[in-house]
Amino acid sequence: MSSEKDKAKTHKLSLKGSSKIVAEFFEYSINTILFQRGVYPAEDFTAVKKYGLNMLVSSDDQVKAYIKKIMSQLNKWMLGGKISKLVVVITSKETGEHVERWQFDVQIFGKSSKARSSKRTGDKENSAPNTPDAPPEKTEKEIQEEIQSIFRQITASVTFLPMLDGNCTFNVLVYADADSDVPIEWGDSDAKEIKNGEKVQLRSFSTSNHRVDTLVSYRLAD
Amino acid sequence: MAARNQRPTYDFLVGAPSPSPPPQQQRAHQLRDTLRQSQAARPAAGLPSPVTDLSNEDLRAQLKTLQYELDTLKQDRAVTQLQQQQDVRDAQQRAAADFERAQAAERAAQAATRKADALARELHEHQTRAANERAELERKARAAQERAREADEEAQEAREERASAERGARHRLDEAEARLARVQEALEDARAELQGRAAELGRTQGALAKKEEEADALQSELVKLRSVSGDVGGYEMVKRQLSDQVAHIRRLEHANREQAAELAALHKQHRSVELVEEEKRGLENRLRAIDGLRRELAEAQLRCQVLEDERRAWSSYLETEGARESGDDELRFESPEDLARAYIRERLETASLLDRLGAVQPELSVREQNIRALEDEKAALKSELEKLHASQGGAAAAAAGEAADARARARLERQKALAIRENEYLRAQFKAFDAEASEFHADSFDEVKSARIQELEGLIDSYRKELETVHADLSKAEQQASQRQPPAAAVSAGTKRPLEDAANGDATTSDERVGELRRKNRHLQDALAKQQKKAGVLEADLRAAQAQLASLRASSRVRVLELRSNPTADAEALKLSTVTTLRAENRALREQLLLEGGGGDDAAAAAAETKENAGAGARRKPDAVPAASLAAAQAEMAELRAELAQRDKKAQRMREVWSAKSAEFREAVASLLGWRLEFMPSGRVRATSLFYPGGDAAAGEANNIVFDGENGTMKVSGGPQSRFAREIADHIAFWVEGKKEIPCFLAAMTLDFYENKYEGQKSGG
Repeated sequence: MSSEKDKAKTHKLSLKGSSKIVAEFFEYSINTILFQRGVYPAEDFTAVKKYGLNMLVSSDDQVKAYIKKIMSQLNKWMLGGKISKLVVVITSKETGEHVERWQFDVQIFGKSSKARSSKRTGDKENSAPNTPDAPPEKTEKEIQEEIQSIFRQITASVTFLPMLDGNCTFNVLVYADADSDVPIEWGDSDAKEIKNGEKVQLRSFSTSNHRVDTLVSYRLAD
Repeated sequence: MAARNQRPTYDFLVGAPSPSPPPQQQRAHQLRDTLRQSQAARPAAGLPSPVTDLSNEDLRAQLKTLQYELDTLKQDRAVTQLQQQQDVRDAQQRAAADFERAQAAERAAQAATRKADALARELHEHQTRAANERAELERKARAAQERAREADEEAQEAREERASAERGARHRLDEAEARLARVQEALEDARAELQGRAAELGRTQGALAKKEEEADALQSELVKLRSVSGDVGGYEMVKRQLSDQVAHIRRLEHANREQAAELAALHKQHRSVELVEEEKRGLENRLRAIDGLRRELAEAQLRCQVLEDERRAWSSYLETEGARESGDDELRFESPEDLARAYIRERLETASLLDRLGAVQPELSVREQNIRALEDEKAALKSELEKLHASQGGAAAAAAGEAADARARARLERQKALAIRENEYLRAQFKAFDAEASEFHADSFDEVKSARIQELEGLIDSYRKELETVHADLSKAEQQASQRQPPAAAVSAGTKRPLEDAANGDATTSDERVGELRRKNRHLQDALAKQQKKAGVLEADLRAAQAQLASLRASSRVRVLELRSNPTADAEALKLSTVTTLRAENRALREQLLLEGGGGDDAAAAAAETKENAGAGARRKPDAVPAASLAAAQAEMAELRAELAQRDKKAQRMREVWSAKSAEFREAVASLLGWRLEFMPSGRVRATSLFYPGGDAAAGEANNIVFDGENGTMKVSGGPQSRFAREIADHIAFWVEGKKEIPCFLAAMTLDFYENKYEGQKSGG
């Protein structure tokens, strides 16, 4: 009984830490995408050391405030395990078309034990291969290296992604479970998928509780 | 002597009037005379006086004058002597006074020198102070210069602002001018109009004058007439006529009044008629509407009737169905939906039955083939039998053959019986299928097939009959044969029978088993078909439910969320607001344009003119832009302001970056060269050694060197007499003044300071 309780506690703690890592990763990846894709001018960014890299973070007040708002809510949802996807959509200001879509899929390893257990008991045998087993424990350094390689890849992806005309804006979408608490500032949105878009799967990283896959889809030049 | 002096003067003055030249001339003359006299006097002196008596008088007078002159001269001299003495005294006194003054002056000078010394000291002090002050002032001046530069910049900005304001003002001025021009044009128009009016007025006045003239003429005529009608008869007549006319007029008036009343009544009537007509029109409209409604109603009723009929048909059908199948719950329908569902079920069932039919048909054909084979066999047997019959006549020795024949016949009979049973069984099965098919699948029941089947059945029946007749014939023949040869047959039959029976029994039992199995199979097949039907219905249900579920699930499982105030939405909103403002502006402008066009049409007279001056008209009309354009302009301004803010931000960032970079640079220089550099305005650099840090700058302890790049000068802090300056004086003398090498100078000092510092520490330690 007590051991179970302890286990739950440690689980919770590690979930918290893992959520924090993932949320932080999201924050920096949003900033990196904004910088690399030229959504905002380069002088709006200041360099910060993170993950052993020089990360560029927006110093524009509005953008900062927006990202901060998203992050505060995202942290809550991450802790609740409600997030399945985070998407950064880059939209052309002129035409309103979605030109690029960065999708971060979040898988939660411990989730089957909690929220989905009731649903999945019936077909546990079938679902077992789908839900990845929790990977062996990783050190923080390993996780950081994985994240670092993702950022390197995001930076490198500029080489194959089509040029943006500069007059673009962005939006952050969050795929949350239907039963999550949604504050009044948040509203439903469409998925903003790119029609006939090209998709490129990038690297992924995993922590003790989460696995994050990265996928960029973009509109091909006509 | 005084009297002598006085007299000749007096005499001279008295006697002077006759010859008297002016005194100077006279004196010159006298001098000349004297010279002449002296020349003459020398010879004359030896001469006796009586001889010169005549000229003596003259000479004496001359002498007298000379004497007088001499006296006066003497007197003058005395006077001058006196005066000189006086002067001398005065001078002496003055000298004494001067001396005293000089002494005083000397004292004063001494005091002054003392004071001067003091002043000099003071001056020196002042100078030093002034030097300090000057340094300070220089600093201040630099500050002031900076301020001035700032002010300049500000002024520049202000100038720019002013320029922009000027531009704005000019723009406004232009606008105002344009407006003025427009107003002037309007004024000119008005003036032209006024002139037209004035001309008209003149014309009217002319007309008036004419009228007045006419009136005058008439008056004069009237007067004339009056004078004419002066006679009483005329007057009476006129009066009578007048009274007649008055009466006539009264009559007319009366009639008029009556007619007016009538008219009013008529008006009233007319109005009421109009009202009635209006009402009538309204009623007509309503009638028309009612007609339409009636038509619609009729249609609707018709439709309703049709639907009712349909419904009744349905209900009656359902009722009859219900009544007919009251025992069967499955076939009692509450509604067409049930019916439709049942229909679907039936269709599925039919499909399954068709399937089964399809499965049965090949079986059937196989059976038919069997039957045909049997028939063939039968025919063969018959022919054989006939052959036997034929050979029977002369076949006495056919006993053994007959026995074989009988065996074969028995086998054949067995086979026949089997075939018949099978046939019957198949037929029963087939009939059951037929019944099922006709019951559930009345429409698509295959008439042809059933006909063919019946035909086949008939055929089989006929064959069977034939077979029976053949059989009867055969038995008859057998009987005949057995009558002829009973024992052999009996033996053969007797020997054969049990075996045959056993075989028959086996066959029947196996047949029964097979039949049972078949029945079971059929039951199972039926059950399978039923289950399949059910499964089909369920699958259809499942599909529908799945479709519903999928749509529901897609909307309910995961929500895609976004922060409402996201940059994309902001951009969209901006775009939208821009569009709406522009649209509003556009609308307002269009309205204005239309209004303008209307105004142009109104002024029909001025159409030609407007055509001519279309440009001018267009320029004149829009004296004011609509408020929407103001909004649009404001939006644009806000946008520009945002852009400006962005630029400012950029500049600010650049500045920050620059200052960070410069700090970095200074740090780098300091760590590499050992000198901390401070860049000051006007190209000066203050260098402070890291090894000889200055004390408090305010206390004048700053140990630094200020290099002025522009002037090429170098200033050591605290002046040339400070401790620091004295310490580095050697280096200055050697490197700066001697070799003119500042980097080496600094390096030498660095080395020097380093040694001093660490040796000092060592010695201190």
